[in-house]
Amino acid sequence: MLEGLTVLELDDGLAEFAGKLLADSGAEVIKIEPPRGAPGRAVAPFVGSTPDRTSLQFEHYNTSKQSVVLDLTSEADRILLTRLAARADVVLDGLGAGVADSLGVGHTELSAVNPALIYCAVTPFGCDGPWAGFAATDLTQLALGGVMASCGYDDGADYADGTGYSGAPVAPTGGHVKHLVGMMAVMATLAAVLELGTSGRGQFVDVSAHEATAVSTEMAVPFWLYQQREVHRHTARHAMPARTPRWQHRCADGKYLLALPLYIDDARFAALVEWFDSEGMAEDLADEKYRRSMQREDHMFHVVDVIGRFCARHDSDHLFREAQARRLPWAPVNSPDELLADPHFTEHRDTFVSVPAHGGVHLYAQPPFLIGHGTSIRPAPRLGEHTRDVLGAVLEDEYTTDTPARQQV
Amino acid sequence: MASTSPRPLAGTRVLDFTWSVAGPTMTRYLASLGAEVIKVEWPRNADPMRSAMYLGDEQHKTLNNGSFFANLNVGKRSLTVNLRTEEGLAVIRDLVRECDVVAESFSATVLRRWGLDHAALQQLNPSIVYVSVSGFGHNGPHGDKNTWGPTAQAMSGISAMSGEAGAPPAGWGWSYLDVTSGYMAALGVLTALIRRQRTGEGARLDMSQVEVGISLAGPGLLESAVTGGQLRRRGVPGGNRSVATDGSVVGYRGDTAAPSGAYRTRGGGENDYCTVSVADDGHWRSLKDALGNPAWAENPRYDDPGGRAEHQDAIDTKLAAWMAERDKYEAMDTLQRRGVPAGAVQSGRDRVENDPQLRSRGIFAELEHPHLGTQAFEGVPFRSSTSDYELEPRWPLLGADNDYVLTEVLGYSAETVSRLHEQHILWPEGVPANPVVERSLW
Repeated sequence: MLEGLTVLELDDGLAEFAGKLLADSGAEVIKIEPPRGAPGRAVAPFVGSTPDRTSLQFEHYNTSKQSVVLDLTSEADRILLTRLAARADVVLDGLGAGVADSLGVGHTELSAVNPALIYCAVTPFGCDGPWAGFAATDLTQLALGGVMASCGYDDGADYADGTGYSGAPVAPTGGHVKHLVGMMAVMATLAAVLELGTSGRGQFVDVSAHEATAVSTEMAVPFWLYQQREVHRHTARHAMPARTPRWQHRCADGKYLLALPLYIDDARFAALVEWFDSEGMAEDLADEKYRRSMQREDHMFHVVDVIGRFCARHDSDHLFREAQARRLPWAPVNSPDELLADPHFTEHRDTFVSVPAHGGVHLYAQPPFLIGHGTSIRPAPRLGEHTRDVLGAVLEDEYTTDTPARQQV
Repeated sequence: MASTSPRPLAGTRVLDFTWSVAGPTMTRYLASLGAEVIKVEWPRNADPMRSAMYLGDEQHKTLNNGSFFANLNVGKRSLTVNLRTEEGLAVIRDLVRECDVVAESFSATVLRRWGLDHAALQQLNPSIVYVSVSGFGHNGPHGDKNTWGPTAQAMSGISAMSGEAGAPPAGWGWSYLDVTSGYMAALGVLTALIRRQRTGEGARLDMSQVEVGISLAGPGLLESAVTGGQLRRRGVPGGNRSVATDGSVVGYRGDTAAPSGAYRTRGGGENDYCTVSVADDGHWRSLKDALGNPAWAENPRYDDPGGRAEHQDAIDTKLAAWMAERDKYEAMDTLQRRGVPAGAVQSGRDRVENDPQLRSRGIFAELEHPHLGTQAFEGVPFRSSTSDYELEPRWPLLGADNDYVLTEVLGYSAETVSRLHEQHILWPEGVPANPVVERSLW
């Protein structure tokens, strides 16, 4: 989709998901790495052993990109970067607020050689403000951005397995700050590309991971803005100002089921009661007081307890199929790897792409907006794999196009 | 307030059938980028988010003064039209010809039933970009399954990737996949519009919320595919840690920090916590400095990342004692002054009232709403040197833009418009102009 778009990525980690989305969508993304390699190459988990080990963290976030090594502390390499920028459409800068400027390859220098350049600075807190220079990791940003205040447990004592977990805030794993700011960086960048197509103008874009996170928590901020109420953490369901019945139940096979008790109209509830009753487990749910949703809502803690007891007696997969046959919006709480065996994703949709990579075949998720478009994903590059080709093309091009220009002078 | 600088999507028109949160999040951002978004509803079954959350002291709840709805749908226009009539569908077919994007978040069969599947849309408008957002996408064995954001989160694996080690999944405290599916769908529309700008070609984007979850699950999925190991079997997720005591990755946060945790601070409130990540030896030295180089920290076993990972329980205990005596912002500032990544756990109130960075950047915009007065709304988390992305105070009050759409966009004659009014194609007979709501969702 984005064939013909050239992106330079200068990054210490925060912008690489943005670069991956662009690269997997067809843009030519050239990752500029220092001679020792981008920091992500040294982040676990690894396959293989030193010195030939490969970081799967790096492989995951750098698919379809090219790698060019430049030492930005050297004048000669800074000139080469400037030449690359002169031919690029976009610079994705994830080095941190002000770092590229201090190296002399910031927006001022690069836009001077390419006024149509889109320069997207992806930083933890934005390019200005009292926290602009603060140190940050995924964890500290999930805390500041409000994710952790909404995620955690409220019912440790209710579970019988005695794990002793607390009501402390929990930071979901997987790198979500990078994901949130990455989506926002791509949004701002693609908007700028569209504008470039009509106005011919480049621009500077300032994307803050803190802001991207802080506006992505759905009700938590509106509850304060509009009702001056705070939400409380609830196990595996929405953080809300008031207590709510459970959504998640342990099944007979040890997996959990997300049995959403919301949006169940009276017809679906009747089907649920008939189903439970067919196994003698409806308890009192056939009672008139549960029939209509307005009255049922006053008894949902009990209704959900009955659902929990039913789940405990059945396997999660059985519950998924039977519930969905009755239009109940329920699903098993899968581990991500379990989807690799589900034909819906592996046969009927091209959710995953197999990519021959260093040391074996890798599976990657496609950009979710390009499912069905037959996107091709390439393995992450080895350090400097494309240095010669990319720089050679620049120098050759300049030689052939510069010659007539010089003659004019 | 309203900007005068042009926005990138100025001149782009979106026909918006989306409802709930995922689809409307997409079109909210398209509106912020300058698109003209026409939200289509019928007052008898309007978007349920219209009655989701009101001002705390609201005495008169209507379909037009829901504050959550206003925040989610700022910048859009509203058209009401009865799609169960041929005359109503004719209006929609005319609009498809005048729009660049058609967006919907129904189940797979709805647009087909209206005679507006992708082929029909293409006949009306060959370069149309048609985007749908559903739980599983519109094909495959799960294509007709019933899902909401939390269902998709469970299915996709991202709920299981949140929680303390060995405990049941903690999941997400909101519909993260509604929010992020909205973002990803907006990226899809922008991608398709860029291709269309270059080639004239339209596109069909069949978004699945579960697939959005898969794309956000992180590198653990790749590790699992390469090594054949099940994530939960080996202690993933590991609460707020990046690595287990044996050094294996349990957080996939892009670092292998140890210690890595949220520590109780003074106050005892449920959000009185401060997080700290010691991602490298430099952070460790700075942390020791910030704590005044206590004797317990001068332990050679803590000098390298492997040792800190192995002994993070002991370090946590000491760090927790230091934190317990401090306010969360005081602890954060003390550590940040030395360059240690630290961050207070911030609630909704904290972000609105206590966060100097968000205040300095003006992320919460004050806008005037005709039924709500002046209120704050969540802004756009990026800035541009050429486009002003301030929210525009435009609100999809039910049917408020009917005449604009029919007259100015479609060029209908006054007679045609009044005939549609008289036939109740544009508003249901007997329903007041500002329908009252008895009970709000939240």
